[in-house]
Amino acid sequence: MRRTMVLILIAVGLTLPASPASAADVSIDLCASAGTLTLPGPVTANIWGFALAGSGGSCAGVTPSVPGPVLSVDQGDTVSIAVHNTLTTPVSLEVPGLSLGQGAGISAPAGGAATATFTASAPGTYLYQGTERQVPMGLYGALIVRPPTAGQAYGSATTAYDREALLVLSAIDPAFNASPATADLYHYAPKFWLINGKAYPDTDLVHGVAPGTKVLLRYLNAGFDNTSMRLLGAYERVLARDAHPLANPFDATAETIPAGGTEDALVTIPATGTRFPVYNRQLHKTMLTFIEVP
Amino acid sequence: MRKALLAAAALLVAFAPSARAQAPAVPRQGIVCTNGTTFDLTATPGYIETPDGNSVLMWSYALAGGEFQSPGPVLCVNEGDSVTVHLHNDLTEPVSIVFPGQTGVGGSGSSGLLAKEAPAGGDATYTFTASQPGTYVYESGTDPEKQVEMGLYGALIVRPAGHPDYAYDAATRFDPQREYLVLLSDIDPDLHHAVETGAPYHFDQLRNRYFAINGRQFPDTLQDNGVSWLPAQPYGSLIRVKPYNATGNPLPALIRMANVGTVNHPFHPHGNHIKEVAQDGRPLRTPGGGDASSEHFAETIGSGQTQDYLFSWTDQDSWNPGSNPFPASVASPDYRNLTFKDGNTWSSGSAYLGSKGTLPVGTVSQNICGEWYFPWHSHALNEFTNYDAGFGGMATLLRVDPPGGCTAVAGTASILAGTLNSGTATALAAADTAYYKVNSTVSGTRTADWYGGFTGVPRGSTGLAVTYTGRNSIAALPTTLWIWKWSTSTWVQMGAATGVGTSDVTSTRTPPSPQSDYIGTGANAGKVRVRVLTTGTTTNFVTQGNLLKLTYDAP
Repeated sequence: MRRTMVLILIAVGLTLPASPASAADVSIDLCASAGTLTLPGPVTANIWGFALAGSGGSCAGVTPSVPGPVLSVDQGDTVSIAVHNTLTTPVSLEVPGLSLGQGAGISAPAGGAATATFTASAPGTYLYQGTERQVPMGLYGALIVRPPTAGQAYGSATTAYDREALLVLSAIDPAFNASPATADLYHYAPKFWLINGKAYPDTDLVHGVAPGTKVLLRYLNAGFDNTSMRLLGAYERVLARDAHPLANPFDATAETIPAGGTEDALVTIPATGTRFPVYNRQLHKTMLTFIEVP
Repeated sequence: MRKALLAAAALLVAFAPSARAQAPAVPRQGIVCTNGTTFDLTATPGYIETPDGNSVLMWSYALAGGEFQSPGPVLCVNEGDSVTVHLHNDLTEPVSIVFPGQTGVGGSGSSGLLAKEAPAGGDATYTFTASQPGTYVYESGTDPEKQVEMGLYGALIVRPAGHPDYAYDAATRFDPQREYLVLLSDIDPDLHHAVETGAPYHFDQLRNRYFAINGRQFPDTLQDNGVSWLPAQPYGSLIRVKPYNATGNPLPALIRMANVGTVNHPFHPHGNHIKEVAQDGRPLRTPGGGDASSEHFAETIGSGQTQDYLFSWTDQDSWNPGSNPFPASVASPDYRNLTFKDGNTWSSGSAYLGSKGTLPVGTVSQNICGEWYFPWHSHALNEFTNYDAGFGGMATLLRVDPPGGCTAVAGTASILAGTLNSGTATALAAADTAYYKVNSTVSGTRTADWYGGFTGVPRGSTGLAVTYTGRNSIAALPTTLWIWKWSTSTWVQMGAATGVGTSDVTSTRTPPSPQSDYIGTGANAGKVRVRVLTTGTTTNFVTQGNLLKLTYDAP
């Protein structure tokens, strides 16, 4: 059983390439808990979020985050994710794109727990998430399945990168989050547009290395609408959608990531420029960050 | 009260001192390029008009010294050019320009979030090398949720070095006469009104009501570029093609699409597939460099995205009322489908390309000569409206012109010298067994001299060509064709004489420019006259006209 590969890096500048490992059994204990998220204003929004459990699956004293912790496993791993639910409503867990064996997903009853066990059969960028009203409350996060070759997003050498960054896109309507059980979805109207749970100017920078190096952007859209993200001063090569490599990767400066979808894109840092904006082209201005070099 | 304010403001705009700088040569349809490598733009307010009678405050980039226009001018440069864009700001807040797809954009101005800014009343400059061909947008990088919504956007075209007829490479060669821009945008007039009145601006309450192509809403999209009654919206988007022909019309049209709106737009080239060859200014290729283009009959253009399409329209069945009529089993057109709205239609009433048919009583047809129309529109049907009233908004028409242009046959025949032998003008409608026969004069050098009259030729038609088929009762008489020049009331000879004997001979002639001289105006609007003069010897003869046809390209 190996737990060291479960990374808890939530900042955008995620990590250097992980070292490869052979298939293993990976066990992850998550808590689903209530908390708060401080947004610019400041505005404090109620959230439900995932957190890594303490020893023995204890949720005592854990603080949930939006998005939840980044889960990183290797292709071929047998992954067990236990959800310990401290909320007063049931919480589901599903990972679109991966078969959880128990059907579409599992459900942990209020105050209870449930475990999903599955094989990380294919590399890529996946969302793990609750369902229905749990999602706008914040119950979502990123699951990365790494191929055998370190420093690649997929099996092909054309997906090699020097740095990687997660961009979990979402939105929050504090009014909905104040009363998730009863809020009328007809009036659902987000006020904050987030990257990794943060609204500009609080968003974290993406760090590039140097001109000519490659930054892998893993977009995950946990929000409710199809989101067009613009990159200025550089191109991104779109490698994969929904954890499936594209037969014909292409270059883009404005890509739409469907609600619930993921996309992997590789930015080769241009020779000129040190700061490349990445932002929501649908003009939701707080969904903004920058790739900065160095 | 608001209307009065708008009108007053509009007058101010209209009377602002102006002289169109770098005024491009404006074709009636198709892309209107402002060519150059240095551009002087001014960020300025102005008003657009919508088809439902509203007017909306917009901010836009105008050519310095020019008139307000929405969207900003289409900037056209060549691959490799060093491009400089000067921005002067006539707005009351800082403004800027970003150039997505361009790398290494330099310049000067105040520091801004996404780009150098021009302060209110001030200036900024942007420089870059247009390193790769393609279709790009430019837009404000300052407070985009307000300034882009207000209209600070436009298109940037980079043409391949040495190959203005390529979009990217030889595989994307297109017909330069058929290059079109389809720039999609959307407007929430309440937000614009908030800016106009200084009320709070709540972008999170966005509700778009107007949806535009090239800054106009349907049906204004169909009007020519630069029409006087849309002074702030100079770009039309009627798309015109002729059927593909391997020898006569082998090249596709190029449709450059871009979305500067706030939402993704599903665009539907109704009734057709179009071939996507590029996105965001980069051709779609396989990893090995091969063709990765794809055909679409609906494609979402993402906010901020550009996509390029090649389009050839092929007349697969070539139905023809004479040589290839519909099988009896094929139903005739359903008139309910042809009437567009309120008894208005672009249909000819005939399913034969180039033919006109009978339409229901009370239906007004915009059809000229049997050309075909397809609506190209956003398939988010709320966007196919003007303030929720359909049809309108993000829509235009594809017009397929008959392969030989419009065709008219002589409807009247009049004799200048000689006498009627037999027949009427209807015999001139087709090359068949019916003839319009004129006896020559009977003394001196015999002549037969007559003309056919055509009607309904629209003002502005070009490409006039006359086809005459006829014969004589005796051999080898020189025959000349003439056309009536209305401005001088004289006949103008078209080309040299043709010898016409006892078998049918066909001659095709084109009149000298300008062709507008030959299309009547006023009481003679749309009339064209073509004269056939046969000169004989001292022997009487009969000249026998079989076909007298006029072809033209309608405007």
